[in-house]
Amino acid sequence: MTGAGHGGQVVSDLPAETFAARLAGPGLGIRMGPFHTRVQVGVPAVQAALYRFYGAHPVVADDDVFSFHVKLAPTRGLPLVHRPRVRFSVDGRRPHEDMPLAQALPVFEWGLNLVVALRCYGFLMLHAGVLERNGQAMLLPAAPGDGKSTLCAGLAFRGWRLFSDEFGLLRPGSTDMLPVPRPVALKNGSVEIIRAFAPAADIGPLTRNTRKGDVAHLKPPADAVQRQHAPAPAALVVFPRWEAGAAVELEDLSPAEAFMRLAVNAFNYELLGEAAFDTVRRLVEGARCFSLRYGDLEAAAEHLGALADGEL
Amino acid sequence: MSRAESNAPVLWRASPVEDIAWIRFDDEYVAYHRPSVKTHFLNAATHRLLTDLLVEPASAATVAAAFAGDSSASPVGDVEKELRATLSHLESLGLVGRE
Repeated sequence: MTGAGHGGQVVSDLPAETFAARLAGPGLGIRMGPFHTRVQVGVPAVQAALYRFYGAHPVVADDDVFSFHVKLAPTRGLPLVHRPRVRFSVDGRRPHEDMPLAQALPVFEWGLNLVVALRCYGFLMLHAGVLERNGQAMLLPAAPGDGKSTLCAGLAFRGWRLFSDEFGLLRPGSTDMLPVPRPVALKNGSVEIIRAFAPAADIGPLTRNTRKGDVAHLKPPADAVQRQHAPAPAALVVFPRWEAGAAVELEDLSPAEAFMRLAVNAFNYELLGEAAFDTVRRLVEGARCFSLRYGDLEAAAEHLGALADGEL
Repeated sequence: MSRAESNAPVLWRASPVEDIAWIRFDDEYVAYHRPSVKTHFLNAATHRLLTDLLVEPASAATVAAAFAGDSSASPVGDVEKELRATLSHLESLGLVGRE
């Protein structure tokens, strides 16, 4: 047993061949934060990648109740006519068109993100990175391209526990952030930035020319996965924005401005209605809110570490 | 005879108190409008306008006179023009209505 947080079996307890056979056959239940996901994958390269990246994740019993069933399978076509493609489906439905087989791993990871964003309305879902330090959570809500994933990846190697680079997840009425540690998608220049920043980081192969550019996945630190059952109260809300060459600027944000930006940032604010309004109010009233502009990852990590440690 | 037929000024009223949940952050307000499930970010003047119209429906001219009286910066006519635009916008959001 290598530590599932609750003492159960984790993915790496299974031989790689068994793992691959389960994914290729009936599927395997994997716990990802609050989600019990049944995974079927018919692409050997993705089976190997998932075994590597989800090694510390708990295995869920077959008779469990699953949040969703996801499947990634090669499509059939005439090899001389059609380029090989993969089909992602959830509970038997295809949320998008088939994608190139060469992009199978990013397609699987993005598909999981899509499933959470579109279906898990029992939670308020912010488009945010989340990390924990000193028992308190920091949210990094941001739009695509603002450097959220890079910052999350970097901080995960500077004393922060990674919750997610994609989802700020909380139950309506609570300000406890829920961990959903999964591989971090590094894009384009971020891949080499993280390789240099954290030589110990386990980064997978580069997939070129996806719709988001070149992508490689970072394995979530084992500690983050082993403690994925442990939420943390939101204490900091920092809206990051990466700008080439910019010095670190951390500015206080008014609660009203923070409220507005969080409401706009959430995937499902209006769908949850007043419960979301009340939850964002609690979040803003209970946390210190800032905007962050940065051009250097190390400098940003130092500032945010000092902020969390009460030195700023 | 209707109000329009009598040429009487339009009286504006605020959305019922139970329709809006408020949060105050210093001089800024966030309002959650339950019927439309929309959240709005309002300044102190708009909050006051809605509060006044909740207490008693009033014409734009009446409210403008009250606002102008509290601030010598703008003539009543300018305030009323601005106020009519604000009321029209608030009406489109469902935050005020006509009597």
